[in-house]
Amino acid sequence: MILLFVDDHKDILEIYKAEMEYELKETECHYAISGEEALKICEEHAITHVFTDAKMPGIDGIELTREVMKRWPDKKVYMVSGYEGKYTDDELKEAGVLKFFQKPIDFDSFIDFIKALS
Amino acid sequence: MFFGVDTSSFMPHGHCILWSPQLLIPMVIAEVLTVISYFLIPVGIFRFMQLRLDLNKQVKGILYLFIAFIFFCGLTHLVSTWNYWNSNYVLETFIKLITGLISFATLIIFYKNLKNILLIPSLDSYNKVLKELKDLNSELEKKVNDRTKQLNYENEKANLVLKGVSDGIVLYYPIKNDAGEVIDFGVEVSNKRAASLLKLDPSKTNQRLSLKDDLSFLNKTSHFDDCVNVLISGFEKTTDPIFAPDIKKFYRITISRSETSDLLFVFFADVTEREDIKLDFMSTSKLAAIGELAGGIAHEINTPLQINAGLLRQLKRKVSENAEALEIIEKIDTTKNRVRDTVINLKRLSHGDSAELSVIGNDKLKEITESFLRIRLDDKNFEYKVEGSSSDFKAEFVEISFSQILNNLISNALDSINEHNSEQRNIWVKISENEAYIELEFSDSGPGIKEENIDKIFDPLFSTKEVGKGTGLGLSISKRLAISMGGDLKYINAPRTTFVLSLKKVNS
Repeated sequence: MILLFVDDHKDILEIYKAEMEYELKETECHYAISGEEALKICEEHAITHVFTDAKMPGIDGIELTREVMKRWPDKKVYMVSGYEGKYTDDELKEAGVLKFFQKPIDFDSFIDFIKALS
Repeated sequence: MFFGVDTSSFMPHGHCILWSPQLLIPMVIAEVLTVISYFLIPVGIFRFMQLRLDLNKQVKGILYLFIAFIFFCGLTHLVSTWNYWNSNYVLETFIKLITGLISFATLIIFYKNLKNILLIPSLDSYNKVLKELKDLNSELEKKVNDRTKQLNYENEKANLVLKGVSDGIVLYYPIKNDAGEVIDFGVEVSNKRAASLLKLDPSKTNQRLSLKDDLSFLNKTSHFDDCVNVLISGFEKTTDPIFAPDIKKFYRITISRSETSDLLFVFFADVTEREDIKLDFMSTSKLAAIGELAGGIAHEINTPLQINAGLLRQLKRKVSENAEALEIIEKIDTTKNRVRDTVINLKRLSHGDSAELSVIGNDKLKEITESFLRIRLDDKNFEYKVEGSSSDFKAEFVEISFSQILNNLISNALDSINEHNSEQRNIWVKISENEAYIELEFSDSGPGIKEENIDKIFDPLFSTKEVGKGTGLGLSISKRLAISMGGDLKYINAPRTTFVLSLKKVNS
């Protein structure tokens, strides 16, 4: 299992990093600050699960999901966003988002969810 | 003896014919018939003069002469008859003389006035005039018929127009006191529409009514003053809308004064439906705007919240030995949750969230209610309590509507308690169920609603709050929203200010 976290806020990425290093020390994790960087990382590493923000400058969460699903259909994409109502459930499903997490997420259950993936 | 002549020794006239009965008898019979005729003809003429009122003085004069002349002719024959056996020849001479004079005078005057007498219309001319009159009469009749027909048509047209207009048309006649001040208006209903619009008793619509007594539901509005102003100034005035609280209707009223008299024409239109739509629109558009704004800032708030949450977790791990620090962290975490709830609830107000009927269970209803009270009251030194129902029910509700009703009730309770500086600062919500409804009893420790206002609290635009503070729409919109969910919102007086929001129960 190789994880990729995408968020345009550096602080959020650092929090993911801190949590992963504390809770899932053995798991390989990558962090991208934009959709473009995320695609580049996907090209270079065998990412299995992507957790992306929705609202980002440039390639946003939903575009990133579509692109990833087009090029690597076996990758699993999840969305973590503060803006629940931006996309409808159908839109998310159609793009390939498997689950939506509402920010601020409860880390305990979030970590449990990730642990259950492997 | 007359005039020195004694004719007593003279021969009676009978001698002249030698008393021959063959001559005397027919002659006397002829004389007597003539006398009778000559005496009675003047009576007939006199009667004729009495009955014919149209105779002029000249004709009358001539007729009087005719009467005299015929009468004296008769008298002459009478004396002649008498003198067949007697010899009163002086008397006969005297009478004959008078008769001759009157006859001659009649002759002269008759001929002199012949021209005038000819003017007396003949039967022919009478018939001619009669015919002309008849023609004229029938012509007139025809004209009258045509005119009546036209009038009826115009009248029918006017009635049709009166019937067709959606406005109620009413005439007002000012009623003044001795000082000349207008104290009331006499009201006459002009079309059926007016009677139904003004909710008038149909049996009364033919009478002149009193504005103050029979249209008393307008007493609480500015209508009477408006009418007086129009009466004085002559300027037409339209008020739209004007709310009659007693019958809960909105009207558009146009008042205009007659150009020739003190009469006012007042046009009423019922605009209740339009105002209702407007109120609905005001409430939903306001909510939609808030919801949109909330949606827009949700991301901006939730992202920093996420950072805080993450940082708190790191901090918690670093000070895991320090109980005091952990307690502080816990409090920060709770505060963070409140911010999150606020954003979520604001977002619920937006259209897209859930404007449709959905089903809510006992626990969830209690939870949402509590979360609203927490957000609104936590930092305001308030105590609140939500008492749930023990039974396991499900109710129909529209989340956005429910949120708004709850928010309005909380706002009213807050304002009332703050305004009166009440020492007790409590809000209680009790959820219970009856056969068809789930009821939320919402009460507060405020001073309550004044008796005289109880009937009006659900009226749109009614507010006891300071100008600029309340819109006067909160409760009326809330009630409307409650009804549109299939429930209701009511006020119960005593023991505390209590509003009961009922939601339709869903039978599982």
